[in-house]
Amino acid sequence: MTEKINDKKIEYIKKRDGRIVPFEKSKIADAIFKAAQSVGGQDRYLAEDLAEAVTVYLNKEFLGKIPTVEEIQDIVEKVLIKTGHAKTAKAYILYREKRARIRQLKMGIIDRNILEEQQEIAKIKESTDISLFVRTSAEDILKWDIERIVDSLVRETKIERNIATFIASEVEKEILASKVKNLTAPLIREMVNAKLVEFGMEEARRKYTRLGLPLYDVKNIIFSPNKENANIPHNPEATNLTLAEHIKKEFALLEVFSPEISDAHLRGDIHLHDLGFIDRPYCSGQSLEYVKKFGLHLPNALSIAKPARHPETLLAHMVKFSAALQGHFNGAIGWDAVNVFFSPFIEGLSDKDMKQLAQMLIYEYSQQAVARGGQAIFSDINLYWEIPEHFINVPAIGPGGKETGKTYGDYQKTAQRFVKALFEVYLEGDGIGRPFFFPKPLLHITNRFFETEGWEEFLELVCIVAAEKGNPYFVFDRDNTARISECCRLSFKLEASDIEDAKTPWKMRFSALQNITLNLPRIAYIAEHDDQKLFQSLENLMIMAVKAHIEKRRFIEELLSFGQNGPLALLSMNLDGEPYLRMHRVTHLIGLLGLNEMVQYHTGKQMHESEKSFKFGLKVVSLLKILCDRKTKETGYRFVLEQTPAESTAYRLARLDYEHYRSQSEQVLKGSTPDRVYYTNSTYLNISEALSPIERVRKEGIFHPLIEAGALTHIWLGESKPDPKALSNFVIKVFKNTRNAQIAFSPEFTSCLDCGRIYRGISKECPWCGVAEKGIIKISGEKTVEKQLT
Amino acid sequence: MEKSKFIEHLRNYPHLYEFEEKDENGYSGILVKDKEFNTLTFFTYQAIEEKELIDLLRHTHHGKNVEWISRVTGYFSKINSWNKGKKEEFKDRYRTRDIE
Repeated sequence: MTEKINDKKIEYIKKRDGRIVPFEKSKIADAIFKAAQSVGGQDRYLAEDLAEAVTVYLNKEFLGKIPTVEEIQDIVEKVLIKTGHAKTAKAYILYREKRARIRQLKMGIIDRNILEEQQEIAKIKESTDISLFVRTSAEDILKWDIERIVDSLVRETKIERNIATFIASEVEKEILASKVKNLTAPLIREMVNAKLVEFGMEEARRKYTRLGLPLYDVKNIIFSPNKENANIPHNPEATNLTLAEHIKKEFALLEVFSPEISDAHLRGDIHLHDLGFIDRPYCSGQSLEYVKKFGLHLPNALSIAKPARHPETLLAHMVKFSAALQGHFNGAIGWDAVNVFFSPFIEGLSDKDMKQLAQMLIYEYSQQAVARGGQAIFSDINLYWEIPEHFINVPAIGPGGKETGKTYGDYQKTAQRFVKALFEVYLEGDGIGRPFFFPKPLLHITNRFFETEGWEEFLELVCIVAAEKGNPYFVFDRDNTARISECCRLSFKLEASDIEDAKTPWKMRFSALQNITLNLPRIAYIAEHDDQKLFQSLENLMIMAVKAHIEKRRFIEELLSFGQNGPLALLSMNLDGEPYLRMHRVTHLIGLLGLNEMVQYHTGKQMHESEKSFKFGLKVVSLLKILCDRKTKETGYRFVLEQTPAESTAYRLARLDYEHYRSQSEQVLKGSTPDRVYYTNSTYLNISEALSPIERVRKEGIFHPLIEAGALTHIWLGESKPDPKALSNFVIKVFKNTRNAQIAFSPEFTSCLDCGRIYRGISKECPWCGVAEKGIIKISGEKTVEKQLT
Repeated sequence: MEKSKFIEHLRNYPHLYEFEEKDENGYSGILVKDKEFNTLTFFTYQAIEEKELIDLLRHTHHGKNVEWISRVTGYFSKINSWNKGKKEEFKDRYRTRDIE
């Protein structure tokens, strides 16, 4: 649009009800696009061009006047015909007529057409003498009754009854004409929806949506394993989860989030995590003290347990509470200072019994396939060599939920014996020597760790476990920061108010309500190497993510508002003067994905390739941190950055960008196109680059202080098995010389399911089972066989 | 095990096995195609008589019944359950040889 036309454009229009409202070109484009879509058109830009033409025409015709809606529509028709879009014009005219009819109905005018139609239907009914039956969703077969459609339309969409009757009769007419004999409720609903679309009743159609899956998909889900989440097994319980997730995901996108946010997710600008678990918060960290003090007193439970008196009972309570919590959180269930809080129950236990208890704890978590879809509980246990400073003087809770008269500082020796026993069990691995998948042990390394007697020997034990099995995470709490870690790397940094909570440790329960990940590379594609544009897009994306967070928060708040009688009764349980889920303390996570590819596209180099590019990445994350802090101030809700685990997100967003931003994304995507692509996780450096471990840990660690909700560096070991002494020196070096928040060493294993042997590294065949025996000829490929057969 | 019992078992799992009775290198026996591992194995009747079902079936795997385990992002899990992007990332990972 040129300036000249701008000068004398029409500003207002007159609506049918006489109101004068501002003129909006986009509404014309919408109407044209809708008409075009109904005849197969798909070009939104063309609709906008045509709307522009209409505007130019209007400006000429109605200069200084206010056009009515009808007048504008006449011009739209004219423009469509003149520009050769006859089909769209026809659809537009038809659409106008239909809308006019609905308006008449709304005003209570029953036009002749409807009366005639109803008589016509009555006639068909009489002459055909068919009795139609409908298979309903309530496992019932009912006689056709148009009033059922009318009732449901009024109930669900709140449209006027006479309009509902009109829509229902239109559907009835089609059904009778089609001579169909077996009708199902879903089919009728779709026919009603088609009618609602035809008559331009978009909002009613949205409300009348049926959620569910095609038969073909359900069959696939039942027969083939779920690839979206690596931890979901394939069994009937898992299938239930997948089906429920599909429906809840659709529900979330239609009902919980606004269309703007849902579209941003579907486009891949942002990723709303775990939509299939929309009615749960994201993840949580708990205190064993809650279970010790209150026993198992869960809402709606069939039985109530008083506080445990024996360590085995405490363990059982802990595991059962974890399972119950897993039904209410979609991510990990973390437990703080487990060896410390167990100690009042196990003082004086023999080594053998101590080890037995450690074994029970780990096996209970690693073998329970009871949570969502028959998965294990996503569990983490936080462990300490020393008693954390904030617990030293806290009165210890012992058997029966009673204070023992001592403080946790007095239990250091017992806590140390237990943590050693736990790592000994991790070292042995499961029944065939494989690493335990759950619970993940998180060893906290603090300044006081190095001042606590026996740390060298203990660190070496943990490092042997790391080298052999890979389980431990090393969490670095430098200079009196304390954290609870859990999930893939999520941690809750304890603040002054939390340290105050430590005096009543059962109150130390934390949760992140939701995670929303920003597709960083896409911002670079849009900015096309313009710094200012890139930072502006980043801010816009952050505003979008904050809006999404608030929408989810409102939804959870609504569920919680039903309290003990509602769907989140467990999170509302109030045993200590406040609900279990403390909403005033929850965090909202802003996840990062593909910083490396963003920087690579924007600066031409990956972060490890140039100091300048690395600094640019740091600038981006610093800005995001500032934005998080600003949003926290503005809204009163805590926003923090997180390194998104991105098991599926790194793949999903890469695929979407390959589809929608092909020429740009092709330059930076990792993996192989078209469908085996991925983005580098969060703020990581290129995963394939041969950086020395300390260099990677140091460089990646520079980002970590900005990422409050937890950050981690992986060191992939593959088949190599480093010397535990070297590992423990490495851990000390990382603590002292870097700002890295967490590290983990990850070996790889091949496990033979036939003989139960386990091998270090990845191999295609079990060397032991691959050997032939007398009387058995192993013929490997098809071709050799054909030869032998002929 | 009895030859007929072995045949009956193979027949019960058509999604997993195909088989035919035939002669191979002068021996009579059963040629089994294991569809899961895409292998062919020839068992002489004598070998069938001498072995248990579980051993016979194990031999159709040719040692390929292995699971790979590594950390996906946070937790260890079985690599065969990862999505294509993660599997590709797994191939690309730089593995450290020495820690200093």
